[in-house]
Amino acid sequence: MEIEFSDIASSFSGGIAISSLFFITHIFSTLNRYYRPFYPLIACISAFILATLISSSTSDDPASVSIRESSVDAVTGLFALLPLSLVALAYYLSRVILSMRKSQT
Amino acid sequence: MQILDPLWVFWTSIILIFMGVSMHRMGPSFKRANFGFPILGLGLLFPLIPSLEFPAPESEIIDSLVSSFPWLFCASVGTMMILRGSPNYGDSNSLAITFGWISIGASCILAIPILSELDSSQAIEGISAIFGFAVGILPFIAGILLSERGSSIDGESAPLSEEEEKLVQTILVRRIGGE
Repeated sequence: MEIEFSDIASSFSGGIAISSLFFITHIFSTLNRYYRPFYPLIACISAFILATLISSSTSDDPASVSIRESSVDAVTGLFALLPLSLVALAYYLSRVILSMRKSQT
Repeated sequence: MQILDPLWVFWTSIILIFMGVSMHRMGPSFKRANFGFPILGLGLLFPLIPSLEFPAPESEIIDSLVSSFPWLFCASVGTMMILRGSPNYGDSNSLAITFGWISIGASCILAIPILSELDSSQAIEGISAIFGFAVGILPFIAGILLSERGSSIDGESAPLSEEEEKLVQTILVRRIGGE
């Protein structure tokens, strides 16, 4: 199957968009008096705008549609690779069990 | 006629999931942390409203979530059982650990068909998405560094009282042993 540059750019920008959206939500939902949210918020909003610009440059659709498509591409791409994380999960869980055995002997 | 717009429901539930995770991670010193799990649950349950039909492209996420659900569920249950059964995180329980590993094994068996269907374009899309997620973290870190640089130390906190010292000592002795 042929891979186009636009697909890679779309998933990449979708990843940036989802990350930025998470951090923007994180900043607002964890706001407290010890927090200095100005710079992180500006940085995350800028990253989201950058992601929107990248995704709209790879598509003929309006920006609101292209960023949604890119975000979906990123999440489905991540889901496709997620089964590989089972190897890492099994490794870390076996380390927990091994450390338990060590402490028991 | 649909009262709720599926598109809004979808993105609202994503925001609620993010909010729930963030609030839960705030820790016990913030009362807001108590709302973390309920908000996360609401975000996860929202898309399950019957008669909601998600439009493209969001429906693709629901489809991949549905196809991944069996192995994700087995892996989550297995992980929880193994961790709960190990003395580091709960009471030592060999039965829980055994069932946990059986569950992890089942999740591997369920995940193999999904992995075998993976083609190179999906793999490259996934890798570029991971790069995107990582790059998305950088501005947040840069913003924090910039904020930290501009802040000054307000003052040193008071030393521990005798009672607090005893409490810390008791916790440490209980967790790591020794005198």
